[in-house]
Amino acid sequence: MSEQADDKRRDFEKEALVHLDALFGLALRLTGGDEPRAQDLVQDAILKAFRSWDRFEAGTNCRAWLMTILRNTFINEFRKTKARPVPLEYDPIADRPSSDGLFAADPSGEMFDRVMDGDVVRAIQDLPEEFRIPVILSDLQGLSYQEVADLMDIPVGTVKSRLFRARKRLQQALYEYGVEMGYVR
Amino acid sequence: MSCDECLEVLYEFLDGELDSAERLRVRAHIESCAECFQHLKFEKRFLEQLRSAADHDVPSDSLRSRLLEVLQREAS
Repeated sequence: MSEQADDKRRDFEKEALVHLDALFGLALRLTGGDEPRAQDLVQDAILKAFRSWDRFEAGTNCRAWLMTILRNTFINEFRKTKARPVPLEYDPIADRPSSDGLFAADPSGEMFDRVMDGDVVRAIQDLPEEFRIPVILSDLQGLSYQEVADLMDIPVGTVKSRLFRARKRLQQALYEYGVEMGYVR
Repeated sequence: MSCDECLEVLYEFLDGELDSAERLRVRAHIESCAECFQHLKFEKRFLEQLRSAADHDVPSDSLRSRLLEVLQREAS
């Protein structure tokens, strides 16, 4: 290995690998908790980042840069496997207004402070991919509806409706958990 | 703005997706409607919990050593 290549690798390891846990966290969320797939995703993203390291501007936000690469890597795969749109079934739970269920039982939403992080994570993992991805991109990554639409190659209106339905499903799952644990009746 | 209209755009309001005119309309409605204000607080609390619970790092020790090997191979 040349000295220059060695320096590049060391530099990359020092700057980029400190963000590995954050990348792995995002990869796990995107893949619905599939660890082997999440590890492969992080590896693909890290390799892409390493190959583009010369173009990374030192002093800018390395974590955000890596997150974007990982996100795009995942979405590219997702779009390849979802070449044909999957029709989403009518979902009576998702279409219920929030005045039902949890809102009626706990209008101030106190229960949300009592559920464990792991339950929220599990509820997200249980969402179908078409719903999970908009939630992660919008709620965890802070992307706008338009950015999510562009990434997923779907109309903005579909992003809105999937986010709405995903969040209602999550509320329903947390409500059921709250009932089970005696937080709400 | 009616309550139905308000509830329909509540997530867009919370997500910062409405233009300023629409934001003002929602805000005006919420200030005068206790029930929609309650809905707003409920959804806000839910989104805050969702974000804080799921957005965290996950230790990746075994992955680190695997990546170090991959990078070593890639650089050579």
